[in-house]
Amino acid sequence: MTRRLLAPSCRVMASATDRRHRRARRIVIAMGLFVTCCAAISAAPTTTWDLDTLFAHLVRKHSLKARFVEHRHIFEVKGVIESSGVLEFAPPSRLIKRTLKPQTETFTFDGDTVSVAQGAFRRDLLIADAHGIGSLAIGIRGFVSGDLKALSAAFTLSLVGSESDWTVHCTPRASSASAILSHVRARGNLGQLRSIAVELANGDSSILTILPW
Amino acid sequence: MSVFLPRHPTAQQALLVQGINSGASAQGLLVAVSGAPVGRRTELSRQLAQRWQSDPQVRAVLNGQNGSFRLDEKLIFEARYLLSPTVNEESFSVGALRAAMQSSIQLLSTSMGLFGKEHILRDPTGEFVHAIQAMMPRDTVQSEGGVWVSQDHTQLLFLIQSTVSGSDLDSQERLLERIRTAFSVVRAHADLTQINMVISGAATFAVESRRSIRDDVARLSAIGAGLIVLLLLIVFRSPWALMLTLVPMVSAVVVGAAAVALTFGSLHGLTLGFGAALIGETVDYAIYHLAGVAREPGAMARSSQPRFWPTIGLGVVTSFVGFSALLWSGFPGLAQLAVFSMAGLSAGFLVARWVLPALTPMAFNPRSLVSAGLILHGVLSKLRRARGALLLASCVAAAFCVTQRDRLWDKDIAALNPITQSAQALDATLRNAVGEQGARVLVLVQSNGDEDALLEATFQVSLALDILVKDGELAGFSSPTMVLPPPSIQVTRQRALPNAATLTGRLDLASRGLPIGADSLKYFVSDVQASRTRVPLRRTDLIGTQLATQLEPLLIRQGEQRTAILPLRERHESPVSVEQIARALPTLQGTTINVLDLTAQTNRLYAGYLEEAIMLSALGGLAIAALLWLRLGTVAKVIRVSIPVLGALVFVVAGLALAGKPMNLLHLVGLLLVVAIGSNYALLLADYVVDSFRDPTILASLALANATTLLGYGVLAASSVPLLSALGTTVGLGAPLVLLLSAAWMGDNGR
Repeated sequence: MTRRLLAPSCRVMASATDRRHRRARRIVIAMGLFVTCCAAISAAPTTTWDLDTLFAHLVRKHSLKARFVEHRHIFEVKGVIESSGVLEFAPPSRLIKRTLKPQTETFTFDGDTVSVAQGAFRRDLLIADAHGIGSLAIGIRGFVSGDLKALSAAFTLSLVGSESDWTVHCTPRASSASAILSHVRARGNLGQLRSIAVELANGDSSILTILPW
Repeated sequence: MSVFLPRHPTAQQALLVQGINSGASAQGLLVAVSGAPVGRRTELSRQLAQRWQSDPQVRAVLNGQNGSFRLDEKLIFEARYLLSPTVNEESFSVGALRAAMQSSIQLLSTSMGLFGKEHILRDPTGEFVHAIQAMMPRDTVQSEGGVWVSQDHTQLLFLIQSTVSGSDLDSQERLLERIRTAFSVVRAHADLTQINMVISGAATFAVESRRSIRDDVARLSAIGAGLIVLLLLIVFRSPWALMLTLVPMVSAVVVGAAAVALTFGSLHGLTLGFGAALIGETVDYAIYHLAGVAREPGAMARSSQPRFWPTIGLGVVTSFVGFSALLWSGFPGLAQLAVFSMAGLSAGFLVARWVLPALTPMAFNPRSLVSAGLILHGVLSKLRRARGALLLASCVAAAFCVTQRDRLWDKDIAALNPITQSAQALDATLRNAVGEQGARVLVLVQSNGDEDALLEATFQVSLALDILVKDGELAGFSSPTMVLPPPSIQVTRQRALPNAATLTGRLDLASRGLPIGADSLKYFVSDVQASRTRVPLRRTDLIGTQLATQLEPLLIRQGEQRTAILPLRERHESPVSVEQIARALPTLQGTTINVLDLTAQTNRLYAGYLEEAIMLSALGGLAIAALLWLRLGTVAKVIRVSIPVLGALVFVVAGLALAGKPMNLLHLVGLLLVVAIGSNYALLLADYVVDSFRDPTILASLALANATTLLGYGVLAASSVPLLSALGTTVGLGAPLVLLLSAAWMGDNGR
């Protein structure tokens, strides 16, 4: 309609404007399509990676029997102290760490009692009374059994890494525990706990590596 | 038990008393808890132990957990080089130090090592653990989950040691109560309603026996009293008569108790119980009074002077004399009974004679006994015919007694023990399971010197006993030197400790090639150095610690005399003898060492009492005879009165021997009572037959009095407590026999 009203000299100008308009509209449509696509993409459901998901994989309903190797650095001792043995877990709450080499010792954490037996000597402690060793016990059992609740109660947790190589950093909440035990670090691959590292406030440290049976 | 302890002990007996008290205190209570589910046993055991341990009168609760022993770890750790038996020169040689360092490194690899680094590096040779093990050698008990269990793993076991003295039954009873309450609380909290507890031990036996005696005395006395009341009501048909009967009895008990309290300062519960039974005789006096009233009521009631009162009075005097013989007994229980009876009977008689008439109302008219008396007179005449046969029977019985004379008396104090076989068996099983055989044999050490010298001597004795344990003759023993080594030994250990420079040098040598150096063990070096000059531990240093309470029953002080007590633990299969132990012990200058077999000694003590009491009773009998002679005039009359009494005694003794029941102390008391009661009957009957008046009410009152005695004591015969049944059987048999025999014997002047 606009074209018939204009003089014949405006026909050339009208077609240039026309071309510009058409390009703009294409751009607008393209942008709109792009934005719609983006929105569509972001609205689709994706899996988040956090503590809850991790522990959903770690939760253990059946018993565990595995070997372990522990490497320890003690300030007064040059080099690494190595020990090895068997790690067992029976649901719901019985953890046994049986050191076999170089010194036999059975460390049991059942319910809320920690007991340590070495030869004829045996010591039983309530978790509430055993600050350092108790925290570690809660830590190890928490990760082996996948008990997020117990771990969160005793430690502040932070998760780094991906599903195939995750690390959870734990700092004890209670000051009585953190005075002895400064840091616990658990590493693993998805539902498989690989190692637990401990750092004591006095600088000593120990890494427990779990091996298949 | 305390009622058996002698008033004026010899030195040997004083040791026995110390031993019994200490042994009972150290033995402790055994507790078995059944019904706990497997997963909760350790926890339950720990909770119970903790709760019981918090009681102020509990010294220690052992349940297999080292932690719950509550030793003073800090003190022991600091003094470990003085207390550990493995401290010697050898353990500080280069070789030993190297081994110690290697084992420390290994320990550092454990879970304990990670958090207990300081202790390991300060004590590489492990003297702390050695010191503790020396103090607690109890490792023969079955263990599950770190706590003691029975052989079949169904029960949790505990050994509770208290600070309560063995003879303080009241405190023992309260402690047992508190233990039971604590158990209920833990059971409720843990929500384990199916668990049960059994307590056993010397204390429980003592408390239990006292309770059962009290219960039986109360129950049977009530039944007996009820029957007597019934009988009296039937006979006299008058409640007022009943009231009057009670008056002399109540006054007798009150006066008797007061007399004992004044003479001895305290009244033992047992004395009151038995004494009240004895006083049942005062019912007889009231009956005589009532019979007199029934015969002549009204004016006579107020100023009753019946002719038989002097005779009854004589009877009371003979009883008095008879019991007085027992006053000289070294056995305080018997002496108390004697005082109680003497005072009580006298009071009962006097009240019946003088007070009852005043209390009897003018219009009182109980049923007359004359008709009953006439019937009985007829019976009496018939009995006279049986006189010859009865005399013959008495002679046979006497001959029988003579042939059985060695088996008549039971010299074993266990016969007085009212504890059932099953309870004793349970105790034995628990003791066996816990490895605590109960200290039957003790070694007592006394020194002329001071406490250090005593500990030194005790240490030497302990070394000798150690050899016996190694040879398998003993299962073990406790010694004060296990808790506190004598200062001389501590000094010897100190001398074996190297100084800082030497020790550091040796550590340098020992650590060649090891990942640990001498500087890592610098606190070890300084600790050893400090121990070299430390003042040896003495008992005073332990005040306020758990170690002090452990030492308490083992190191006793009485005035200036200090005694060390070493309870021995025998092997279940092979009990030891005093001679066997004594042979193995060294002779030390200035030291007295005694080996005491508690069971044998208490039996000997008891047998001594029994023999003494028998002799005193015989003397008492002679005194009674003399008294009767004085009163009656001729020997013939004395014999005539005595024969029925003696006859009854002979029949009772023969009867018991025939039934296979050896007699104990309470049988003797019963026989004395038969003499006391029976002499009344015999004297009254003797009067009756010579009396021209022949008052029939006398016969009736005699029969009635006898019937009440039979009821009162016969009921006791049914008791499950041997002491009570002994008394009841003897008197229940003896009293009627005396009456029967008197009736048969007396009548030579028949109507």
